[in-house]
Amino acid sequence: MRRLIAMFIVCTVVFSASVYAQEDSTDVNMVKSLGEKVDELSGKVDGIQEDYLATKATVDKISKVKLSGYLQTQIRVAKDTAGQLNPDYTNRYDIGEFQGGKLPAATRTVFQLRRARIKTTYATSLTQMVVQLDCLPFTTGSAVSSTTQDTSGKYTVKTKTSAFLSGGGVSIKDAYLRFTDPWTKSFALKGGVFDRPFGFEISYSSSSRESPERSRLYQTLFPGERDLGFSLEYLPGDNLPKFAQFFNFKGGFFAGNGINVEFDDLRDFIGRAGFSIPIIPINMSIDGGVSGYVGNVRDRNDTLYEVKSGKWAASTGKKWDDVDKRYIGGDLELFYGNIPFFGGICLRGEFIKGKQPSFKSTNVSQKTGQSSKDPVYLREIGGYYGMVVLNIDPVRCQLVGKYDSFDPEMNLEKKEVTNAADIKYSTIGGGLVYHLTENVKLTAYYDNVRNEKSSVAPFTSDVKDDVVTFRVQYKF
Amino acid sequence: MNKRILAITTGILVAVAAIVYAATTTITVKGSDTMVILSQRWAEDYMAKNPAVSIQVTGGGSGTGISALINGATDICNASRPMKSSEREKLKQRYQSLGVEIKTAIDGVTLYVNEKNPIKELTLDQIKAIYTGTITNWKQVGGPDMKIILYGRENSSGTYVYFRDEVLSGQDYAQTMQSMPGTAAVVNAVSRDQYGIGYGGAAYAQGVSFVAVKKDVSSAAYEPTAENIKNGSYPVSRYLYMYVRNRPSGEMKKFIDWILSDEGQSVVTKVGYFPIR
Repeated sequence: MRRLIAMFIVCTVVFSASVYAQEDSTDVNMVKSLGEKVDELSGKVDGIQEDYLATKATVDKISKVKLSGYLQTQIRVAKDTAGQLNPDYTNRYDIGEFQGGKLPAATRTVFQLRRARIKTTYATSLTQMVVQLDCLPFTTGSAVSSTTQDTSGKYTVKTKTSAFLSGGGVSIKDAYLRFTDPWTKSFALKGGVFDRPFGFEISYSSSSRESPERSRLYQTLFPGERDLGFSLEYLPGDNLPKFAQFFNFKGGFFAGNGINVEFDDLRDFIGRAGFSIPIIPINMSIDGGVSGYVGNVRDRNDTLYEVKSGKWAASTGKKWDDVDKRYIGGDLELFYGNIPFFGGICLRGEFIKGKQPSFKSTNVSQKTGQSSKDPVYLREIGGYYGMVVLNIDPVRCQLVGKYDSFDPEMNLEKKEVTNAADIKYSTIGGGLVYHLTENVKLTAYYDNVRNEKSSVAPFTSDVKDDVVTFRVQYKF
Repeated sequence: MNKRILAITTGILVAVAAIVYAATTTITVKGSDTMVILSQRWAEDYMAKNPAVSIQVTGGGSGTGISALINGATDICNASRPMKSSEREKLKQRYQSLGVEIKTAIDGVTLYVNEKNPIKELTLDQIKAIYTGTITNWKQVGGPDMKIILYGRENSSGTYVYFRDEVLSGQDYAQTMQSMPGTAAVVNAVSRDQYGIGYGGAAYAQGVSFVAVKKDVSSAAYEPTAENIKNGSYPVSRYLYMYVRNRPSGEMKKFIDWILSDEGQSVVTKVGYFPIR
């Protein structure tokens, strides 16, 4: 019996020990297994972390590319006439040239795609590359070959239609590089095709401008607004002391012939020294600047014309002379944001005076035409504009009023003017801008264009060339 | 003819008045994620007292809010940083106004670490070195030999900009920083990550530990408490702003006046920020 009891006890102890050993081994295995799983998960997390960093690096690169653009489509109506035709069915005078482009002959209303721009920017913290394209459809036209008049005075136009395309396609608006200094982040070097640093209205984007077009003086002196060159900019950042933030500067050397390739070795200096004084407690800002243009064009004709004693006078022996192109300008903008009910108001004005070399038939700055062998006409130009923009904030509207004046030859007055390119013009414009959404803007604008009463027919009195513009803009 | 013109003019005026009235009884508020909870509380309390007024509050970050103010997509913008001069320029161009800035509360930007993390204080230089990637291991600041996991905000956040400008002296964040969509997400990530560090508004710090901040090695460390923030001892404090395009009027003015009143400022304290007075 004792023997049986002893055997039972021994068996129980052995069994218990084996069970304990088994349990202990299970726990060890479980811990081992959990450890392996943690290692596995940790590896996976590290893998995800690596993937995340690789993806982030890609996303960061992509986020440096910014795409923006806008499209303006419009209807323009010549208020009164486009019916004053020459016998060959061309207009006796241009209508709408400075209100979005000349209206075609014998046409009172045009549908128009005014601007369609896509801008691509690649920007890092200190560098920027910008390419902006304007994509407009070609316009078609037909050339009139001959016109005959019968005995009753009726004209017959024989059209030998030769269709042509003009005024459209894809063109470069901007293509430039910009490098910012890494220390103050306020100085930058810019090179390529970009806005000329002169005055206010050039650099004020067409998508933001309240009037449909720039003033006549800017369209004449700076057609296309851009030029090819290099400039230095000082645009102070928030990190600079307050007094240093009040001033800004842009200036550089340019080819002087718009976005076209350079055709001479003359360079033009263009620059603007400006200020911007925000008076935040009363929600007011006073901005302004003075601008200068110092350049030349090369005369390829022996004769140079200038106005002396009220008429054009020729001087000879001028071939290959460099003729002055000089402008000086000033601009002032006053912003006040606390007008009860309306919101903000802006009063803006600019003037430009100077010497403008061009040709007899035109007073516009030449883009490529300086290679022409026509004699150069050196004009003393002067012009200005003033405008008011009043916001009606609760209803997203802006009321706009503008007056601009441009005299292409200030030494000739009224009846002394015998050449259409010397006629002084003034334009009173007014309209309503409605911001339908953050992307869509609607504009209705009326331009009352007045010409000086000159000796040049039909400009012996004010011709009927007022234009109304209805525009829809989409911007992203 | 005159009657017809009168009728048309009256019709236009009535339509304009109706639009203005509709615009002034619904107020939209957008911007800083730091201020979302505070702003929602303000809106709820104000609407409870003024049932005719509807206030819609959304976040998205200070930068997003300022863009919305410029684009006309919101009436009020919440921002946890001051408006930049470039943003004022855009506002000026579109509205002929520099915008109106209203200081609504004070916040201490808080450094969060996991509750198991033994680190209790850091100098501003150490924080800068951690977030710019110069210091990458907790051992370098007296902690365990473990890699520091950085959590921060997206670049549309005012807190992101404020922290970069004021704490990192304008330097870029380390590439390894994980950008989170809101302060709550930062706090959540740090509460789960023993070796993580994050930053954000004081009101969100639940389930994580504060780090006391020292101006430099020799100065005292201060926690982001009401007293320290109000008396300026805590080195990383800032105002929380509201921006509007023009001087507020109508219902918007009443709402803002109420926010600045004792009643509105008591909400600031309840939410976990600090009143301006």
